[in-house]
Amino acid sequence: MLQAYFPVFLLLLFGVGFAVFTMLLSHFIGKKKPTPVKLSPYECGIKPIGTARIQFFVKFYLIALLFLLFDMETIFILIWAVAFHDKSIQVFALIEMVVFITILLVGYAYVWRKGALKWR
Amino acid sequence: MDTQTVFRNLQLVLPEIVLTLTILAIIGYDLFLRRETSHRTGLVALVGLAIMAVFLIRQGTTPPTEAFMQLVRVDAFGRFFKFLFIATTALIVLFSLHSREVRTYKSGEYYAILLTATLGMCFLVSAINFLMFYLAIETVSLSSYVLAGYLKRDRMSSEAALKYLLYGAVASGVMLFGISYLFGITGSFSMAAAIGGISTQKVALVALLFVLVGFAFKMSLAPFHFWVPDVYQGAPTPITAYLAVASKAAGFGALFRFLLPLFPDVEIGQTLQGVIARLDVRPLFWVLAVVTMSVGNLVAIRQRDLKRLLAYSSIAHAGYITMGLAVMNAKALEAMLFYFVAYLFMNLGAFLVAMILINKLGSSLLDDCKGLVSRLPFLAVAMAVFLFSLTGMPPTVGFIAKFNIFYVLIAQGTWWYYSLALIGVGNTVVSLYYYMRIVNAMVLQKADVERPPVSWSPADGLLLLVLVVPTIVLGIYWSPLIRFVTVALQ
Amino acid sequence: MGNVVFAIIFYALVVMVLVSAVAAAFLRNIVMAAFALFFTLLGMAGFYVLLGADFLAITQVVVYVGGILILLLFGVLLTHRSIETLELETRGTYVLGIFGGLLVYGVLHYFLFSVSWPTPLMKPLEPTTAAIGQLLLSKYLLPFEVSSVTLLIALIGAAYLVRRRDT
Repeated sequence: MLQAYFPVFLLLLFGVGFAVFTMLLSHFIGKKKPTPVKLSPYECGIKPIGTARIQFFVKFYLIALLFLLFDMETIFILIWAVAFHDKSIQVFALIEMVVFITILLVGYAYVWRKGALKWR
Repeated sequence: MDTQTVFRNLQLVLPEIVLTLTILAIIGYDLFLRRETSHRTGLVALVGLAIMAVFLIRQGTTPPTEAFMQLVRVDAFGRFFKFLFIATTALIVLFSLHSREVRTYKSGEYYAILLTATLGMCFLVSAINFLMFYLAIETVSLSSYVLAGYLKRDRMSSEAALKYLLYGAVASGVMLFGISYLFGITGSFSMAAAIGGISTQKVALVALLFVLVGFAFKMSLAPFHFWVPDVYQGAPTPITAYLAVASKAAGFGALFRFLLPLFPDVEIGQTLQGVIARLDVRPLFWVLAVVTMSVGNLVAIRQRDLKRLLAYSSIAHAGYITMGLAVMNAKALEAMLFYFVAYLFMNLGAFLVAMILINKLGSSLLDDCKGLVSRLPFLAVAMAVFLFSLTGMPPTVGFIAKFNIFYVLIAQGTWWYYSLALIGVGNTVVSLYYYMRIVNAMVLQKADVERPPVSWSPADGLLLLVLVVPTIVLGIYWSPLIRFVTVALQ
Repeated sequence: MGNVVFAIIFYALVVMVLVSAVAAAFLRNIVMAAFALFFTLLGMAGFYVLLGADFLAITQVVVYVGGILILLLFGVLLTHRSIETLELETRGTYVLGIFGGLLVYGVLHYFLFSVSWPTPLMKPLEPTTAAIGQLLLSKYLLPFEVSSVTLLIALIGAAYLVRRRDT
């Protein structure tokens, strides 16, 4: 069973390894001649004012919240799709998912109509 | 499951399906309404509840069935609570249509969420499987959090929602942890199996305690009552009434359902022979009842805000009802169910008065009630009736309800129960003091400053009458109510 | 051989979860604490994989790591800056926290070792996702549909409370 995860593990290893490797590489072979301009976050841009840690707009939170709820639905749809191969429950499965999605579409229509998805 | 089984099972939850369709209809209708007209969705809610009630009555002839592979049990016991929820919700919708607090906000979402809470409660009292149970309790909780914070420009309301959410999340987490242990011990989510598992392994009592935390939170038993005053004060008044009556009844109903195998002479659902001998939880409820009613009553004395006072009084009433759980037999269950119906009328009535006060005066402080009798005589008289009933004085339904509970205690005939009854009577005396303080302020005291006269609408009077009449009539002629309760236990 | 690999992965995950959990609890910078929590949640997903609960692992990654943590970070960023510099911990809260933690640990320890847990037959670990899906679509049909109503109302409640205008 665990062998099945080996590709996932490899991918993880490669992803982390690639990031670490390139950072180390640039650290060792790059030349370092720091000047105040070079050390600023944006070398060629507007001078930063204050800190990066400002209070966010509440809209971001709403979007994240909506994302999370539709994320949950993805989980339900995922297992539904995996189980769909079983011929004996296919018709049921289809009807159940239609009901499930319809109920959630009402929610989608709601957030759309109420402008929760609009950026203002 | 084949097609036939599914259809048969779906028929058993037809009332709940009607409720779900109503919720969807409200949300759909609301998309086309503006703020000024959005209260029309309340009428849709009323129609939906009426249709649901019809289906529920038609279901009365079906024998008790365990539907959906032992997830829910459709029986008279569950129907009793469902009727209670429908009645409460319908009254709350009427209150809300009449409430200035609610009317200042867009109310399409309000009614949809209110009905969802009711839907969750209906599943809560019929669940016999922890998976279904937990889903139902979360549906109720999520809806209640939003409803408590519905007045979003009001700081108190937002605070109420946040406090409710934080306490609720902790209670629900502890309960879920307990459920996971019960699952580990028994290998099943069945409630009856859990009771069986606990009775064979004493260690599992810890898991039971964890689960009880979740129940106690919903039922507002001390020491899990800390959220009650702040939430009840901050939430819109109709929602306060809803939480105090329906939410509490749902918590008790689900707990009864869970503990039914421990009632020796009640045969609803699975009975486990001789379990009560091995697993006696009555002392626990003895203590909970004493602590809850004492805390509720003693703290209520010092309150200056009517909503906050009624919050503590509702904690005390949860304590009175819990006295029945300390006895745990069929008679006690009957008395507790009776108490819920009485509690519905008198407590909703008291909160209705608070709501009308807020509508007219903009505050629910006791000081503002002074001399009310000369300005709003009918309101003052109605409040007096509800308070007499809450104290348990004849000839009101509150007296009969309380009498039943005390009778069951005395009938046990041991000093253990005599002392509990004695503490209950002592608490009633304390409650008499603070209830009468309100009557005193309304009738005998003069207003500190001259206040302008307030208008009185027929709708106020009609709503009050709907609750005053049963409170008095059922206190004189209560046998129909007894019949209604005994049907639930068949 | 298989056992050795299993043990290595297990202990690596244990170290990762414990270290990041301690960091999440004790780091003063709340943003850093949230990032530490990322590794805790990811490590838990690793445990689920080791236990053969593949569906649970997917859910953990998609919902907790991908969703709730983002929400948590946004929540942190929404707050005023002052909350970071606030002196939240005093000696009292430390003592209380440690005492409470020990109490919880005591209960868990006692419980774990005194219950006679029924052990299921040791079967080779199989993928669980399809089986869970089949159960959800047949036996647990009702919770499946009710959960859509719960999600719907969560959606509407969240959208209502966060929305500023009242339309």
